[in-house]
Amino acid sequence: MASNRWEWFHRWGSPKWYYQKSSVWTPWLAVLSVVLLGTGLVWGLAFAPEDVKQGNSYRIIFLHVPAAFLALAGYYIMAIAGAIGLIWRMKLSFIAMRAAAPLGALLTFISLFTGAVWGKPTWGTYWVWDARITSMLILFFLYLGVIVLTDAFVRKDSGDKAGAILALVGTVNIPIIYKSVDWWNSLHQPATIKLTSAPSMDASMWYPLLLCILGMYAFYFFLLLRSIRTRVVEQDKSKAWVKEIL
Amino acid sequence: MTIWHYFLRDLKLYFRNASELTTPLIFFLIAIAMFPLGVSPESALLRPISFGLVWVVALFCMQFSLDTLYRDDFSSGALEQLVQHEVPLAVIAISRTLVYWVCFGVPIAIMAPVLGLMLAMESSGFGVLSLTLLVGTMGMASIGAIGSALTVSLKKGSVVMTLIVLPMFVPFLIFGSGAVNAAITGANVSPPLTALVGITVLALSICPPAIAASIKMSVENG
Amino acid sequence: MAIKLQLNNLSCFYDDIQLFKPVDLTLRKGEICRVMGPNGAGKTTLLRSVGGLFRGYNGKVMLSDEASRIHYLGHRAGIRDELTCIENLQFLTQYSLTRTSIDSALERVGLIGYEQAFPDELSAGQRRRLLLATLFCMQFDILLLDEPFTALDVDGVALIAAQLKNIAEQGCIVLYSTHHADAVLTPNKTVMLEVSQ
Repeated sequence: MASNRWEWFHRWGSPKWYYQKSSVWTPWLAVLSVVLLGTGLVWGLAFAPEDVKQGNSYRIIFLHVPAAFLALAGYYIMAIAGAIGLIWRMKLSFIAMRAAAPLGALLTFISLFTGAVWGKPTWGTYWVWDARITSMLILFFLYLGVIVLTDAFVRKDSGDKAGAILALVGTVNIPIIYKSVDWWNSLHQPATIKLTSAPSMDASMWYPLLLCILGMYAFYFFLLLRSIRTRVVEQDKSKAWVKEIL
Repeated sequence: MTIWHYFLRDLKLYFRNASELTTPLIFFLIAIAMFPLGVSPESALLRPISFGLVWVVALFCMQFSLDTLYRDDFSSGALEQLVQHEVPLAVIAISRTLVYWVCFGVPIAIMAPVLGLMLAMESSGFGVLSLTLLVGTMGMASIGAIGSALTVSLKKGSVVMTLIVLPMFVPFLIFGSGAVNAAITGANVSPPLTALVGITVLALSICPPAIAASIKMSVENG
Repeated sequence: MAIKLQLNNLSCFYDDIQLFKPVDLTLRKGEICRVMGPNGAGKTTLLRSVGGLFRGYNGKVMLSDEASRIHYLGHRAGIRDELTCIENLQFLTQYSLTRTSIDSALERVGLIGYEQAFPDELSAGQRRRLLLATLFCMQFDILLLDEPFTALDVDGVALIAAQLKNIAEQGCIVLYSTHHADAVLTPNKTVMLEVSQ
C-alpha cells in the first residue's frame, strides 16, 4: 500500500544527474558517429565498386540498410525503456521511451523513402509490396500508434503507462507480423525478386556498409540522448536545478 | 462460480442495448455492398478479391464495435467498481472478450459466406471463410480489447483506438484470408489455419494481463 | 484487532502539480471523517489515493491491518441503465449476497416494488437511494464515499447520515468528501484541503 513517488528514483534516474552525465557522453557519441558514418558513406558512395546488375543505384543501401536496422532496433529500445519505466517507476525511462518513438518513426520513414527511391531504377516503380517494405510500413504504423496514444493523454503519467503497455504488446506482435508478411509475400510473389542478396555481396561493399551501420547506431544514440536531454529540461523547467543552468 | 455472473451481466448489457449490437453488423453488410458499386458488378472481377474484401471489412467491423467493450462501464463508474472487486481483472477481461466474441465474432462468421456469395465468391471457400473468421475474431478481440481499455478514458478514444489496433490485426488478416485462398485454389489449408489458431491461442494467453494493466491505467486517469 | 487508517504527509499530484498541501490524519475504528475543500482541491483524488485507485501521491497511506476491506464508492457509483435495480446491486456487491438481503436493503431505502425497474425509470432522488442501498449490502472495514449527499432530498440526506453513523458504530471507518458542512451528520474529524501555490 505504502508507496512514495520519489523513493523509487535511483540515483541514475535523477534528471539532474542525467543532464550532467549526458553532457559528457553526447560529444563522444557525436565524434564517433561523424567518424564512422563519414568514413562509411564516403567509402561506400565514392570508392566501393559498382554493382554488376544494379549499377550505381545500389549505393543507396549505405543509407537504407542502416536506417532499417535502427528502425527495428529502435522499437525494442523504446519498449525496453517503457518496461523499465513501468516496473521501476522511473520517470527518466519514460522520457527515453517518448524520445525514442518519433526518432524510430523518422528512421522507419527514411528507410521506406530510400527504399522507394531505390525501387524506381530497380523495379521501375516507387512502390512494390515486397515483404520487407510491407513489414517496414506496418512498423511505421506501430510507431505512429505509440506516438498518438502517448500524446492523447493530458496527464503525462497516464500517457507514459499507456505508451509503455502498447509498446510492450508491439514487441510480441512484431516478430509475428514479420513472419506473417513473409509468408504472405511468398504466397503472392515468386521469390525471384530479392532486395539484397547479402552472401553475394563483395567484401569491398560489406565493410563500408558495416561502418555505416555502426555509425548509424552511434548517431541514433547521440540523437536519443540529446532528445532526452531537451525533454528533461523542458519537464523540469520550473525546478531549481534547471533555473541554475539556464 | 462468480465469473459466470460477470459473464451473464456483460451478455445482458449487450443484448439490452440492441443498437450497439446490430449497428456494427449492419455496417458489415452495407460496407460490402459498396464494393460492387465502387469497383464493378462483374463477377469475374469480384470473385478473386471477394474473400479478401469480406475479411478486411470484418476487420473494420471489429474495430468499430470494440469501442463498446469498456466505454459505458467507464463512464458510469462501473469500471472503477470492477477494479476493486475480488475477481482478478485479467479473468474479467477474458470473460468479457468471450462475451464480445459471442456478440460480434460469431455473427460475423455466420454472415460472411452470405456476403461472399454476394461478391460471387467460389462456394468451395465458404466453410473455411466462416471457420477462419470464427477463430480470428477471437484472437483479434483479445488484442482489440487492449486498445479499447487503453483509450477508454480519452474523449476521442475511438479514433486513437483504430490507429493502434488495426496494424496489430495484420497477422490475423494474412493467415485468415490466406487459408481461404488455399481452400479455393486447392492448396494445403492447414499451414495458414494452424498459424491462425496458434496466434489466436497466443493472443488469448498473453493479452489478459495487458488488458488488466490498461484498465487500471484508465481508471487512474479518471 | 482494531483497525487504524493513517495518512502520513499525503499529497496528490497531477504530473508535477501538487493538488493540496500535505495532509496528516489518523482514523480509528468507528470514526467518521469528512474531507472538505474548494473545487479542484483534490477531495476525490485524496479518497481515490486511499482506496488504491490513484498512485500519483507522495507520502504514505498506512493500514494497521493489511487485510482490511477498503472500498471506494465514487460519485457515479457504477449504476448501469441497462440493468435492473437488483442486477445493479448484485454487481456492486460482487454477487455475494442472497436475494433476501438485497430485498431488505431495498426496503430500507424505500425502493420496495422497484426490484425489476431500470434505473432510468427512477427519479434522480430514487437513483441516489439505489446507490444508498449498496451501502446496506456491502461489506467493508473502511468506506470511502465521494459526495454522498449531493442530489438527495431531505429524507435521503437523513437516511444516508443515519446509515453512515450505523456503519461507524459497527466498527468501520468512514471517510467522505462534501462541499458544505451538513447539519445532519457530525463527523469526528474534518480535513480541510488547502490548495497549494
